[in-house]
Amino acid sequence: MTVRVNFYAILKDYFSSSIDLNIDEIRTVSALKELIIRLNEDSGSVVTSCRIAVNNVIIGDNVHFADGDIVDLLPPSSGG
Amino acid sequence: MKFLSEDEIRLEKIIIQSYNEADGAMVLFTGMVRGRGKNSKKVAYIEYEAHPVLAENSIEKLIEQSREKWSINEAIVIHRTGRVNVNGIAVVIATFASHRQAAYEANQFLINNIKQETEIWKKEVFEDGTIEWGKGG
Repeated sequence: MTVRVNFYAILKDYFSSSIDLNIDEIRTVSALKELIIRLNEDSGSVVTSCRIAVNNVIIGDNVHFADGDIVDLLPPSSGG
Repeated sequence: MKFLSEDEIRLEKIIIQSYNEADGAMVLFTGMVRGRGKNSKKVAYIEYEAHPVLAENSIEKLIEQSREKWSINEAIVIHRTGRVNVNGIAVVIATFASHRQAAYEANQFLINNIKQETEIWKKEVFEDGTIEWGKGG
């Protein structure tokens, strides 16, 4: 199963704007974060602090990803 | 988009278009780009990025919450995206109510929560060419 992962703000210092990831073994948000951190270990503290949205809905830790899902990695907000 | 704008924010337009006869108070908060960042470094500009769907939804929910908590007639929120120069307006929050206390408190609630919860991020760009991402909150 492949999902599109979008990166925002400071995460673009570590990744391109979006990547396609094969996540056949992933069942939780924390496991997804671990997979992403393995792609660039310098991103660890930022990725850990992120919230996750799937198809424009913020989700908790347990999640059932579907092929083609759009996953947004959202760093802590800093607007205003 | 209702709450995000790539264009310069025009205060007079917001104020004039939002008045109604029940209003006895309007509190207007404008968040501006400071000319100095941490360590007094000179700021060239700030670049704002937003998740267009989530940020719009978050602001809409916060306005709904403010209407539930306080007796306000209207709440206007506009947050810039893209480049905002020093002294430019990054965010405007206008709250209209029959009485001032509700307008003040709802306004403060909105800016505090927009800073903490809304999917908007800022990148300060300094005149020396360095950058710094907002740390949140």
